[in-house]
This record gives sequence, structure tokens and C-alpha cells, in this order.
Amino acid sequence: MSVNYLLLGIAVAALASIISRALPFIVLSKYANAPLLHFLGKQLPGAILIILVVYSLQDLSIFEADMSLTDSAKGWPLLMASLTVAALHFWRRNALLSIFLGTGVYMFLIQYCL
Amino acid sequence: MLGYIPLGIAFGVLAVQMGFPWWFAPLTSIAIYSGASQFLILSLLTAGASLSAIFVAVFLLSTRHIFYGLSLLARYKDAHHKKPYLIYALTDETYTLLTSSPDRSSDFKITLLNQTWWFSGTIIGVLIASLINFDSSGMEFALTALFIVLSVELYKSNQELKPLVIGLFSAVLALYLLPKQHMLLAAISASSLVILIEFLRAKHER
Repeated sequence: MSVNYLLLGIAVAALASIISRALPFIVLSKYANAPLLHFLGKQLPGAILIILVVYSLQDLSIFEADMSLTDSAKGWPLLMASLTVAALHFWRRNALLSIFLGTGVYMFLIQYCL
Repeated sequence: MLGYIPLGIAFGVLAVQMGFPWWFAPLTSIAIYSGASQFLILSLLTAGASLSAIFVAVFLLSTRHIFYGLSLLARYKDAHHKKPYLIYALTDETYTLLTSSPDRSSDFKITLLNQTWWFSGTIIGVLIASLINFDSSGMEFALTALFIVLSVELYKSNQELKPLVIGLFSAVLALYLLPKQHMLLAAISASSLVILIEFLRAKHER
């Protein structure tokens, strides 16, 4: 990872962030009451978040190409830790608790149980 | 809102442990300032993703800000010179805090404090990781945990199950059919298409 690549990566991500934040105030304000935007606002974020969950899980290789759970050491710890986070968040709805405990479970499983 | 400190610390620690230079995490906390996007680019940059892929991924992840902004148009209308900062620094956490109280007078203060906590946390995390040596393998799970938490949070607030099912189907299908680097964009496009069709169908029925 060269410094140039890192800086360009940050710049590009910063641009994408600021566009997403400024868009409603600059171009979309006229359409604030459009039914389509309301519908997208209700439906799209949930779909995107679930896709990101799956994306970040496959990044850590829980699935094989044929969709079976991977034999690699990370598969089961990932599943356990993910379920911990989801269950904990449904129960206590405390973001910090869910993230820290879930990450702790995962770190413990891959560092001490494998 | 003090919750931002520990999560910022986790981000700082993770960035250093993953081999990023010390300035990387604090710089992103100013330039990008969005926890989920910052965690995401750690994995994208490590994988050597192209700049266009980074742009698309971060933008798609950030589309939720568009809908936050739309619901704040009226509220920020008279914010004058504070408005650019309020727009730049709008995050999940800040949005949740602001919209839980009708009082607009402390919007700027809350927004600024949130970023201060997040930035301080990042610095503390970088310091901890640079000074103390420990086995951090597995810490990258924090990103997955964050996305799971945001999903559950969203479901609890709007009780909409359908988008989650659509997203899950698209994601698994894209994962199965496509090479890894195209999965994100393909899955989100597929979901958007299904949601668009849903909208047109509902409109047609009315």
C-alpha cells in the first residue's frame, strides 16, 4: 500500500461521502415529497445493509464457491459471532455492547479455540 | 453520544494493526467521517481495490445519508453559516440524536461534539495500538458486527422485513454467480431493480 494509493483512496471515499450528504440539500430538495423517494428511503437502506453484511462475511470466507460453509477455520467462529451480535442487539439494543461483545467472541474463538 | 469514543478507539486500533500508517485513521475521521465507510475502506484498500470500486462502494453504503438529509431539509433551512458543517458531519449517530429531540438550537453543538468524540477516539486507538503489543487477530469482525447492528437497528425502527429479504436474496445470488469484486454492485443493482418494480406495481394498483 503506497502512500499515494492510500491518499487517493481517502480522497475518493471522501468525495463519495460528501456527495451522499450534500445531494438532498443541493439537487433533491425539489423532490423531497416525491413518492418514489419516500419509497426508496423506506426500502433501499435495509436491502443495502443486508448486502453489506453478506459482503463482509464472504470477505472473511464463510462460504465456499458452491455455497457450502467453508472448511477454513473462520467459518464457524464467524457464524457464532454474527448470531451473538444479532441476538444481543435484538435483546438489548445497545450498539456498543453488541459490537464489542460480538467482536470479543470472534477474537476469542479464532485465537484460543482453533 | 459518548459511544463514539470506544468505537473510534476500535477503528484506530484496527487501522494500525492492519498495517496502515498512524496518520491514516485520524485523516479519514476528518475527510470521510463515517464509521461504516471508514471501516469498509480498510478492507477495500487492503484488498487493493480500484479507486472506482472504492468510490462506488462508499457511495452505495452512504446512500442512507441521502434519506437522512431529505428528512432534515426543513430543520436545517435556517441554519445559515452552520449549514455546510451540519451537512458534512451528518452521521447515523448524529441523525438519531438530532431527530430524537425537536429542539434545533443545539444541533450544531451536538454535531460538533460527536465528531470531536469520534476523532479523539481514533487518536486514542492509534496510540494504544502503537504503544501496546497484543494479538488483534479477529478484530476486523467489528465491521461485520457494525453492519449487523445497523440492520437490526433499522428493522427495529421501521419493521420492514421485505427489503431485508430482497437484499439477502440479491446478495447470496450475486455471491454465487459473480466474482467477488463485482458482487457488491451487482447485488445492490438487483435489489434496487426489485424495489423499483415493487414501487411501480403498488402505484399501478392504486
